[in-house]
Amino acid sequence: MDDVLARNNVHQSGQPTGQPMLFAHGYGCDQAMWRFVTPMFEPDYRVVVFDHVGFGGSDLSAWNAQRYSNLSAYAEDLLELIGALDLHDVIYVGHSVAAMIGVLAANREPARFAHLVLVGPSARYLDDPQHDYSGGFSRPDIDDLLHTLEGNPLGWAASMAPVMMGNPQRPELSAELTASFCRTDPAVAATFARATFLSDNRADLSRVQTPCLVLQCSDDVIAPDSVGEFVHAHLPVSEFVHLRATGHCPNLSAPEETAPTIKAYLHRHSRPDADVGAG
Amino acid sequence: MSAPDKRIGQAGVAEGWDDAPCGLLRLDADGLVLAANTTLLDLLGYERSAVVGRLRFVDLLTTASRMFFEAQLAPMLLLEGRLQEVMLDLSTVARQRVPVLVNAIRVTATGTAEAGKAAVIRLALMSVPDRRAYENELRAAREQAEQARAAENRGRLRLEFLARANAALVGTSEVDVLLDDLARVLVPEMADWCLIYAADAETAASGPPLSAVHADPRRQPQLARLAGLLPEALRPSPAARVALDRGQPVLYVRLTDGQLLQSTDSAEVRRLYDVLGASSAIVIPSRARGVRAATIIVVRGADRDPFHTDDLHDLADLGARAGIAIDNAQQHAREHGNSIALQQALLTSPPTGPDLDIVTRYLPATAGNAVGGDWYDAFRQSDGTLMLVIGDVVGHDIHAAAAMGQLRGVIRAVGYIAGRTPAAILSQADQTARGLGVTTLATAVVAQIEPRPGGALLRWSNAGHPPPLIVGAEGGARTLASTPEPILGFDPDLKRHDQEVALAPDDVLVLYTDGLVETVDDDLEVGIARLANQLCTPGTASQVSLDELSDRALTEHREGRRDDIALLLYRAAIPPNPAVLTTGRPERAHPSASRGS
Repeated sequence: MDDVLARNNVHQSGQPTGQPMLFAHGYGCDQAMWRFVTPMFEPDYRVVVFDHVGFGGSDLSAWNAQRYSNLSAYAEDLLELIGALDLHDVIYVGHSVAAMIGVLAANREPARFAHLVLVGPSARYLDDPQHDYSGGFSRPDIDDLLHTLEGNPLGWAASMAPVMMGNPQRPELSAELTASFCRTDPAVAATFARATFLSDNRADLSRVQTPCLVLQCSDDVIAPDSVGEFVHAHLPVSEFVHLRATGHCPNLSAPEETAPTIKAYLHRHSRPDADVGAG
Repeated sequence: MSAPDKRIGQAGVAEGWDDAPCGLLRLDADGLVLAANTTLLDLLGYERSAVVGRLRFVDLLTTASRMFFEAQLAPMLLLEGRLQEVMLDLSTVARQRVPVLVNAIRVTATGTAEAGKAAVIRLALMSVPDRRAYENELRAAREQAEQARAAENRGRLRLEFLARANAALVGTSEVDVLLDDLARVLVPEMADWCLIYAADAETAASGPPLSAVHADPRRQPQLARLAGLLPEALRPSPAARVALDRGQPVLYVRLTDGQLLQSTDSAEVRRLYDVLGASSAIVIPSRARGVRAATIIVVRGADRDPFHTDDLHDLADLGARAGIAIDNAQQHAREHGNSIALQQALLTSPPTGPDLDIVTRYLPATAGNAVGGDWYDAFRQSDGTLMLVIGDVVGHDIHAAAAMGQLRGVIRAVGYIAGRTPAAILSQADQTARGLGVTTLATAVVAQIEPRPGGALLRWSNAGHPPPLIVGAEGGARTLASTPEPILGFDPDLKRHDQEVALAPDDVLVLYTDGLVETVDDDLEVGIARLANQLCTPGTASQVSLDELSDRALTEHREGRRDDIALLLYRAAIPPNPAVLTTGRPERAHPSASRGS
């Protein structure tokens, strides 16, 4: 269990016996994405945040390009984490590609999940003219993105990588990492970008048994309205909320709108026996 | 388009803003452009009015840069308040790509780090068209270096592979072992599975599969089944057929379904291809002395890169050397077989009789070509006296087998004459062999069985041979030690000596050659003691058949014999009619009558 928790840099806060809320970061950053949102749930829930392997404070030595080249590996890790913490009745909040990672995990072990909150989800980023689907991007766009990533180490010096790879637990390195957010090995970033932007999870949507909330941002160039609406339309049970927040990261840019929207949804759907159970 | 814009002054921008040597932008918290300097607008070809208050920063980027900014840079800017040294591509009015190096800071009106709407973002954008080209050159150079290193690595791995393959080819002279070793060099390193069919060099017909190895041990049974179905089920294309007949390997870079279907009529074979994984293959006809020695089929599944022409060359080279090695091994096997056949033709069956209990065994060596030197013999002298012989000619080849035949014949001939004792027979054989020009050296024991009241007398003479054993009727075993005398062929004038010992009924005389008592460190004494131990059957020796005793002695020698083994066991008969024997000399002219049968 400790292995999984260290591997995914799991942090818990809030009510130890409360219903678990699991926040998963998407492509581009790490659990810091949730720092303005989680405080609003800590009074009522057991809050769990983590980093996908390869990101943030995760154990970089656990990463390899082959395993993490598709989303199912991340879904497996997620289920391992849920198993290690023995979480049930999970409210899963996944941002960006983590929305689909949650969908995959919930399809595999539906019994673990109470709700999926999908923030800026996309079931497929690439256009698929054959099926009249517009994901927003073409294959050359993705190749161009991979080039862009390659040209942007963002302060990640290649010489740093081996040190951190070999010393996931070294406190001074952890300190350095927490002081700088979203630092990612370009190779890891490129692999996750490929896994994310070349994924196609449209067929998985209809199999979701868990009730979902879809949060759609305004002017989101990564997951435009049509993409979010597609997700909503193909999920068996879902609610759709269009946020005023712009961009792709409402959890950072508009936490004051994002958190209450999720909270309101959860209150609407809180089980009548929840208080009895807690007492 | 560089006309002064009053809004700049209104926004409180410092002097030098517009003609700064880099593009400058000011955005609101949502990324909407609040101000842009002339340098940037010129770079993009936009009118100020088309940008300020209308476009967001991401609208000025290429699609890829927009994705990168929204997914990775926007969060960083929010969390850390700054971006440094970021490479982005701007997109001009004319959709031209302009690479820029960007620094950005996010500041709030009050200067606090809180993520509030009051924040503004300031960016400096440096056009770096040449830097991108330079970076591309660096990247190309790095990729080239990596490719060179990979090629070098591949070259080294190939050399190591060929060295291992060579070691497999020279490691043994036995065809089965050779092909198995070769298969295990090929799999899993070179292929996911491989089949090697040996061809009989004389008929050039494919024999049964001699080696079938799959990288996944769980697939081994299916591969064995396929090996049994091929090559009858296989139908190479005419072009492939010609190439194979000429000894040229054939490369199937991609085994398309069509090719697989075409190559066989068998649904079972196609199903097995599916299970085993077959997406790329090389077939190598391995030849020696102008004829096919083997066919090697190596196959890769879909998970691996397909075979490359480099692989074809390596395997063709390997196939040529394998052909020679296989041919040598087959030749060796044939010679070995010939020696064994000759040997066994020379070893005649012992005499039989109602009360005559003799068992003989001969096992050729399994390792190497060690064959032919050992023999056993049992015959009656002219007066009916039973003679038992064990011998071992120096040397282990077809010549040793022939020499053994001659020497055995000499001992038979000189031993047939009634009245000659074992010592006399060995001396006579020494002289006769010398006189006839039989120059071979051999060790031997000649034993003579004379029935006596209450049992028999064993008389023997030992020419440098390991001592015989006696397994007593009560189960104990003892060696018949004697003062060592030289081997046959050493000195024809040598005087040899007879030894005598009484045999009780059911005592078993054990004559053997050194192959039976060899030990790892060649300590004969230890080996003999171990043999004696194996044959001990306290209390019940008389109920154990000679066949069973032989099996017991040979148990450890079933496999991996370095030397051949000859073994002769004789069980002393129940004493014949005492009345007949009181004369002290049996009725030699009628031995069967002397046994009272």
